[in-house]
Amino acid sequence: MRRRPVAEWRLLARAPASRAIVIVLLGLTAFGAFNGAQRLDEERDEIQAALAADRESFAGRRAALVELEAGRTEEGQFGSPRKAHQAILGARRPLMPSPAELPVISAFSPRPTPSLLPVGILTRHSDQQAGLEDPTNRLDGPFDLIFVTTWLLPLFALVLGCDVLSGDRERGRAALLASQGTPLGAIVISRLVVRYLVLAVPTALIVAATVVVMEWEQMPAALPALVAWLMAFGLYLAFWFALAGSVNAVARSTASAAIFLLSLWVAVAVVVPSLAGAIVSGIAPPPDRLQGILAFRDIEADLNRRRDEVTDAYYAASPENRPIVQGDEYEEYFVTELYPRQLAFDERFAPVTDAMEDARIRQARLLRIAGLASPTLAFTLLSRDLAGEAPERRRAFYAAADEYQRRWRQHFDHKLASMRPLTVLDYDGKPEFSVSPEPVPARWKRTVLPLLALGLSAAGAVFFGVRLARRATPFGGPLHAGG
Amino acid sequence: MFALVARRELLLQLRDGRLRVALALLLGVLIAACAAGWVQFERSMQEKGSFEDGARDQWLTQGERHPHRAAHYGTYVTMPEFGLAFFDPGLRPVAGQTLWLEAHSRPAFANVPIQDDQTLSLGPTTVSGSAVLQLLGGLLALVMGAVAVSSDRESGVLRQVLAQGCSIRNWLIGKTLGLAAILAIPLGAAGVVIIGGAVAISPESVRADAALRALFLVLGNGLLLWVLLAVGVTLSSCLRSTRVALTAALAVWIGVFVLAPRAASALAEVAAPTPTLSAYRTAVIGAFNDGFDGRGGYAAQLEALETETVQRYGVESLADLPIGFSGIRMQHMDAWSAEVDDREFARLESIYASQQRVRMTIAAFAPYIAARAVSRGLAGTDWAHYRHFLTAAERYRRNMGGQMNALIEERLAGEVWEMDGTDEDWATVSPLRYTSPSVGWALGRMATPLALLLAWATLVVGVCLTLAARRLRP
Repeated sequence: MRRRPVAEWRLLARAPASRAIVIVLLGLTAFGAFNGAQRLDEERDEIQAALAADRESFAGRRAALVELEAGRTEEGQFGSPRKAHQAILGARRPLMPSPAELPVISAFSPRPTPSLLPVGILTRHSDQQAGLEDPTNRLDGPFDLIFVTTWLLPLFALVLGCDVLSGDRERGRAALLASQGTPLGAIVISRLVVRYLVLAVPTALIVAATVVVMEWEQMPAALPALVAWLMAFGLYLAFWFALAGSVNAVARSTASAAIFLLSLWVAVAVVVPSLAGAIVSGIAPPPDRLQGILAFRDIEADLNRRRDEVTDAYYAASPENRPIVQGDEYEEYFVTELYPRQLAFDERFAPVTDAMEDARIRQARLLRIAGLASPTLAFTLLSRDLAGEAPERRRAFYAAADEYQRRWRQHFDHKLASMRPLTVLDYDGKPEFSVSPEPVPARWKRTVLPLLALGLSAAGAVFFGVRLARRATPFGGPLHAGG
Repeated sequence: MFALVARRELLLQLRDGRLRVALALLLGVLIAACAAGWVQFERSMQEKGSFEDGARDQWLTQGERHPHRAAHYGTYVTMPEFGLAFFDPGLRPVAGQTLWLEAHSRPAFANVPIQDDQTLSLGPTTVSGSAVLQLLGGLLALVMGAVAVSSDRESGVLRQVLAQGCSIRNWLIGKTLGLAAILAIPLGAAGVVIIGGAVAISPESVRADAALRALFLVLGNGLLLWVLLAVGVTLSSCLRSTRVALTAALAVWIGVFVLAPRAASALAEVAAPTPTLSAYRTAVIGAFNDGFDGRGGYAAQLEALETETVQRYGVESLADLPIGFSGIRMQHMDAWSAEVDDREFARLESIYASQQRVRMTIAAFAPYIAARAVSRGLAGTDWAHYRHFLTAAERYRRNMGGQMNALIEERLAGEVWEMDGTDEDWATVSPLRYTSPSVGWALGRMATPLALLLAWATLVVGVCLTLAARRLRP
């Protein structure tokens, strides 16, 4: 009995079709890993370049201010490091979210949480352009590890597993097999286990190697996520092989088994997630961007109409910020008009953006529940979450960015609004952005439901599959159990 | 003779309960997807209509402000859709739906639905009428073809038929035509829904165009199903058993429908990488500041403009000008921005074109990619249509900016900047009137995928069936 898997492995290794399937899958997995790694490298390069440019820019301004204060240079009309409305008002600082655990498994574009967010006194991060990628490419979706493991791998599993017993029945060998003393059920299970290992082990190794290479510097955070993902992956693949076993137990021909299994793939991987999506979208609609834009413009136009009132209100609340010099028309506009208006705007627009973030999170929560209906959906959601695409992470980042913007404004508020000259201390004491990782319980709470859904699906399918396989007969059909 | 074979095949297939169930399922899913698409389309039209009205109203009633700030406040327009978008929404989920028309910047489609709606990216493809017809109809065509010949060979029917004097070639053609008649059932039903829907949903002025688009769309999908059927029949004839033929057909389906589209896009991106947004913006700013093709950057141009304007008006300095120099400056800045934008955007477009060539090269082996491009093109939801609207919107934006700059030039004198325009001034900017391109234009833009699909449907199918007739042994 113990030798059976070894014998099955040898048989499988000898079949050219099986070898070809495994080689093709490994090639595709490697290509998916390459795409994810390339995308991540590009993002990291972009972040490094933005950070370097930010450092250089502020160091340059500070050095210019030192020169100016020492009397070695003269102040020009524009670009003065001493005037906050020239040096700081338009400046944007690059903010990064806390690193995701397994970003390399996804090349999804546009990323739901931007990898880089420019924030300054006048920025509004409510309307980011998605990127320049050809929309036709975006529609097809990325060829990444999530695509390979979620949608392609089950198809390969079904192709490898569709004839574990039905092929023998078709060739008339099933009765002979059954007469050898080993129950057909045991044969089916050992064949499936061998095929499972043949697909799971190399794929898992490629994913793990990619994660280790790309996330080496933050392995302590990535490791638990990698373990959780591998566990989910194992359960997900087990579900599909268990389905193949169940169908083989009853199918009389490979053709019927293959068609039935492909229909199941279409149902579980395409139809159910789409249906679930439609239902969830009905119960928890996505944030209405168009209404968001109209609200944005309404507030903007209203504040513009009441601009004098807004300016008066600001200086009445902060009399110490009244300008100490009479500015020119540009300064009057940017400092005494636009700046107070921006503060008033953000206060009024914040509930709209909060409602939009809430809508995203509500939808994500419902989708996680819907994952109970389809292991593909559960696995997709789990993978994307570990890749850093959960809306909760986006909200946490945007909240941190808002808080940073508040501190940034507060730091320069007095000098900017009163048009007092900046000093080196203002530059040296400027606030820096830091975002702490999500609290561990909140972070892992999100993965419980998809993992549970995968565990239940796999356990149910394996239980059902083993039960049917044990009753398998040389002729097919569960009613023939026991001969 | 083959007409007889085709009739017999049609009757036999219709008697097959499994096929009837498969057809009923396909039709059910197709109708459900079309109905969902219809509801989505209507809702989208309503939302866009009310959004555009709101944005126009906001432009008209923005109150007093500087015309240049009004140009920055700008306005919004949304991508108009043809009625056929209910069947094939194409790029809708992934391309932005709105364009913000503001001063200095070429608009870019923003507010991408897939960014906000997580339910749109749950499957390997977006579910729509066209996806159902192409993916599931394609699967049915391949499976029917793969089973057709080998099952008759294995059961001995083929031997009997040939013994009655029917040639293999005639039998094969007849059998393929009979199966094609079966596939015409879901295709015909889809045709009724598509043409009827397109005519019903389109305004009267474009109804004929919509009907023609719908007709070509049905024919395009028909060609895809025909090709897949022929491939299935060839596999069935050339491979030794139904089991092997079916496995091969499923492998073809996975390769063509699941693997090839993403692989094509990924390879296109590898072959011609799209610049990042920040790299693109840096290039635009660089060209604006530093100039190109021997022309100086903006600062040098502004200096020359100042000198030239002072000379033209015969005054001592800009402050003595009888017109508002800031209006002239803004006009020049916008014109220079437009040149820079056109240059950089043309570069981006050439990258898109290179990517399209990679996709079409792969489409030569995977007809689904070509069929999908044809379907989107006819539904008006491909990049060519988005680009057409983008060009019209950009023209409108430049004109709007020009009007605002003219106000500054007319109403001010010298170097003064501050002034206010009123709601009456904003009303002089008429709304964007956009004429959608015709079906002829659309067909012209999809020449390559159309040619590929036609080549598959004629040459490749001919070669396949000839090969099948030669290789087939009873």
